[in-house]
Amino acid sequence: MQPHAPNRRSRLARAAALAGALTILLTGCVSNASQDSLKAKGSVARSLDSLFVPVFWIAVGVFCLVAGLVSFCIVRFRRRSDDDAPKQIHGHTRLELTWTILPALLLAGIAIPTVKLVFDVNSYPKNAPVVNVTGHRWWWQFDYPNTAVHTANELHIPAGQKVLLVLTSDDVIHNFWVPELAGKVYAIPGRHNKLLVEADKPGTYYGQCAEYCGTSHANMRIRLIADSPADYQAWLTSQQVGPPTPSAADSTAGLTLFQQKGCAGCHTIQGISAGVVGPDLTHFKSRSVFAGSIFDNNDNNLRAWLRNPPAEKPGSVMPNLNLTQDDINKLVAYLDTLK
Amino acid sequence: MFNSAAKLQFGLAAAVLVAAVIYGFALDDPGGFVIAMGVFVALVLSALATTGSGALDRAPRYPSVADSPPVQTVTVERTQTRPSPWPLVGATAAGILAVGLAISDNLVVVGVVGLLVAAAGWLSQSWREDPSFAGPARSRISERLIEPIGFPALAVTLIAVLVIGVSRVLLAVPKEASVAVAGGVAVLVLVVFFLIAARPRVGRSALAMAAAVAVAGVVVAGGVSAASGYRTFEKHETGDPAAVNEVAQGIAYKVKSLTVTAGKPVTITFTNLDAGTYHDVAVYTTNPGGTPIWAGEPIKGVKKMSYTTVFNTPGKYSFRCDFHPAMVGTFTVVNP
Repeated sequence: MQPHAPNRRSRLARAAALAGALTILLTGCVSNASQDSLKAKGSVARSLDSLFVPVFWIAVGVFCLVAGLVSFCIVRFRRRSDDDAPKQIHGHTRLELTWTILPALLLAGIAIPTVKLVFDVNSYPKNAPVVNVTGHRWWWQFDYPNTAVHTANELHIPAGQKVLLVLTSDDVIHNFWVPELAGKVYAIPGRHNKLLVEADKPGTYYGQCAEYCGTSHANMRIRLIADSPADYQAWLTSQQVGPPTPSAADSTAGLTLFQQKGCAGCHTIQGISAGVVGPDLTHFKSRSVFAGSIFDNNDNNLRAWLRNPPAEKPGSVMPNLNLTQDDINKLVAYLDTLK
Repeated sequence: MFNSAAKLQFGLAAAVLVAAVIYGFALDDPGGFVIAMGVFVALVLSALATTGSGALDRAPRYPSVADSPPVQTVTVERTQTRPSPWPLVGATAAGILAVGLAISDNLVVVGVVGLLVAAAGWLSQSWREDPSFAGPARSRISERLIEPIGFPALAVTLIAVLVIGVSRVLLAVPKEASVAVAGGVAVLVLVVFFLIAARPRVGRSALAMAAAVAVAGVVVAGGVSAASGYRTFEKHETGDPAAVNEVAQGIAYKVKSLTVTAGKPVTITFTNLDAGTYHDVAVYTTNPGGTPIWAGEPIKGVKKMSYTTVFNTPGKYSFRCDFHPAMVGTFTVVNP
C-alpha cells in the first residue's frame, strides 16, 4: 500500500489544480460583470480595446505555431534508440533569415498601432472638463476646479464628453481604474498624472484602486456616474449650494455634536468646519454610498459605521470615537439633512 | 557565404530598418527617420563588405584525423604580471555610478570619471604588459604625455582634493573648532615635511605610502563632513515665516491667546502632550459655532505637528479643539 500513497496524493493535487484552473476559466463566462475592460463603454476604453483584440489574436496565432512546432519536433525527432544521434549541421541560413525577418515584421506591425495609441491616449483636448482626483487610504476625493464642489467616492462626469482626471495621492501610491471607461493610471504623492475618461451613455460605472495600498485596498472602490449634460449641470449647481441649517431638535443637536466630538477636525462641511483629513460632508446625503463606496448610504449602515469605523472597514483612519447610541442617532439625523 | 560577423551585421541592419519604419510611421519626424535609414545603409554596406571578404568563421573540416595538419604547440615566454587593480577601481566606480543614479547627480559625475580613469588605466596597463611596449615607446610617452600633461594634471588634482577636502571639514565643524583644525593641519604639515627633510634617506615607497594615507585621510574626512552637512550659519536677513506655538496638556491649551500678522506666512506648531487623546487647533470666527477659518490635523497622543499658512483678514477670531469644546482661546490677526 505504501508505494501507492504519494501517487494518489499527487493525482489528487493535480485534480485540485485542474479544478482551480477551470474555476478561474469559468469566471470568464460571467455576462454582467461590471468591471470588464473587454466591454468598452467609451471612446478611450474602445481605443485600448481596438489594440488589444488584434494583438490578442496575433499572440494566439504565434502560440499555436510555436506550440505546434515544438510538439511536432518532440514526436518526430524523439530518441528512438540509445545510439540514435541526429544529423549534425552548422546552421541553416534560409531558416535563420526566416525566423529573424518574420518576427521582426510581426513586431513592427504590432508596434506601429501601439506607439500611435500611446501618443493618442496622452494627448488631452484643451477644452475638456477637469476633475482633480486624490487617493486617500482608503477612499477617493474628487475636486472640481473653479467651483466649490468637493466630493468623495462618487465621481460625476458629463456623458459623451472626454473628461480629464488629474490624479494625485495624499499618502501612498494608489491607482485609478474604471475598466469599462479607461486604462489604469497611478495616483502618486507629489505628482499629477493625467487620465482621460469618457462614457458614451449616462449610467453608473464601477472601478477600484488597482495598486495594493494597504489594509483596506480592496475596500477602495470607485463609482463613476455619467450624467446627461443637463443632469450634470444640475448636479454641479446643487453641489455648490451650502448646507441647510438644521431645524429639527435632533438634527440641531447632531450639528452641535459634530462640532464638539471631533468630527469637525477631519471633515469639512461648508460654513461649519474646515477639516481636510476625511471626505467633505457638505452634500453627504446626495451620495448613494460611503466609506470607499463599500456601504449603501442609509441610516442603518451609518449607525454601524459611527459606532466603530475600524470594525466596519479594517484600517480605517477614522477612529472609534466611543459615541453613545443617543449621540449616534442625533449625528445621523444631522447627516441626513446634508442633501 | 555568410560568416557570423556578417549575420550579426545584417541582423542589426534589419533591426534598425524596423525601428526606422516604426519611428517614421508613429512620429511625424522625417529627420529621425533619415538618420535611422543612414545607420541602416551603413550597416548593410558593412555587412556586405564582411561577406565579400570571404573570411570563414568555421574551422576547415577534414574527412579523417590522418588528413588534418599536425597539431602545433607554441610556447610563449611570459613574465609574471602583477594582479591589476583596475577592475577593482572600475567596479567601485560602477557602484558609485549606480548609487549616484539613484540619489545624486554629483555622484554620477564621480562614477563616470572613475569609470573613465579605470578604463584608461586598464588599457594602459594591458599595453604596458604587451611585448610591443618597449624602450622607445616608453620614453616617447614619458616625454610627450606624462611629463608635460600628466604631472601638472596630477598636481592640480591633488591641490583641488586638498582644498575641497579640508574646506569641507572646516565648514562642518563648529566655528571655534574650525580654527583649531586649520591650525592643527598647518602644524602637522610643517612637522611632517620637517621630518622628511631631516632624514633624506626615507625610502620612496614609504614616502608614497605616507602621501597616499594623507590624501585618503583628507578625502574621507572631507566626504564625511560634506555628508554630515555644514554647521548652521548665522542669518542676517530672515525671510522665514513667523512662528506661534501651542501646547495641549491635561485637556487644556497652555497658551490662551495667539497672535499672527495678516498676509504673512506663519508657522503654527502644535504639540499634544495628552497620551491617547485627540486634540487639534481649529480657528473659527466665533465660539461656539462660527465659520471655519483654518484647521490643523487632529493629533492623537503625544506628537508635534507644524503647519505653515497665511491669514489674510485682520480681526479677532477664536480657536478651539474640535474634540473638547471647553478648550478655547482667542486668535488675533493683526495688521502688518
